[in-house]
Amino acid sequence: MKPTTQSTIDPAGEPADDPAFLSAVQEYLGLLEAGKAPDRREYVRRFPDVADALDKCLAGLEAV
Amino acid sequence: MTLSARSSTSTRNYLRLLARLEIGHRVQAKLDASDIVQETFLEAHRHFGQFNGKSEGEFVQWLRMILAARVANTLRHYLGTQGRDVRREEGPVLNLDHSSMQIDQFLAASISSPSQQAVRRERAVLLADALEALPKDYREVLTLRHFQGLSFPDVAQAMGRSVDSVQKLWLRALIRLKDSLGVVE
Repeated sequence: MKPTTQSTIDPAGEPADDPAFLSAVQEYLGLLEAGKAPDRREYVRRFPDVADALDKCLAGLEAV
Repeated sequence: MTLSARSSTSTRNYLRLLARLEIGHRVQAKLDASDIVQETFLEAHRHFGQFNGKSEGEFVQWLRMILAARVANTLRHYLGTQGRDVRREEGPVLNLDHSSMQIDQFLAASISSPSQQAVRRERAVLLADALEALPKDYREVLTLRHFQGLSFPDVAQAMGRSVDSVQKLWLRALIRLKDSLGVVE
């Protein structure tokens, strides 16, 4: 998957407080709900500043 | 295997999750899922001689049947004592068939092999353990959003918060869930 979005998430703030972080998670949820099987690690690379928090968040999302 | 050996913490957590889903959000404030699970195990203990299965999966299935009856009785009793329709009060939150169906997707009894069922059941039990370890509001937002399938506006209404607030709570809950899964796995 080619990066289509540049990270605009503020790494200094709390990720959950950042609308861009929410958008990234919701976009991933949309892919899951559409029956696609996105590569989480590749997806997370689009957001290097918050990669750890985003990876955890998406892993949690995949569990539910 | 004895009943006590089978009454693992994980099984209790799984049944508690099912009970919460079946009771519904607002009624949970008045009815305790833990009490219903405890009553389920007491009833299972009393009638253990009637259990004809052999596997852990059959035992959990048997417990689920007892749990469903306990939930129905408890809700009926609550409706009787309150003299009003709790389901109407629940609005979009309480949906008995849908809520139990969501967690049952992990079991998918009719469409998968016994080994696949075992894997799905194990996932459901792990998830129940991880959810149980979360703070209540985290567990609640994940349950409402993913198992009861509510939209964020409906989750916000159910929890008495703003949409923005529940979305932030949801993100934090997902991160904590991953940590929690890492502990129980």
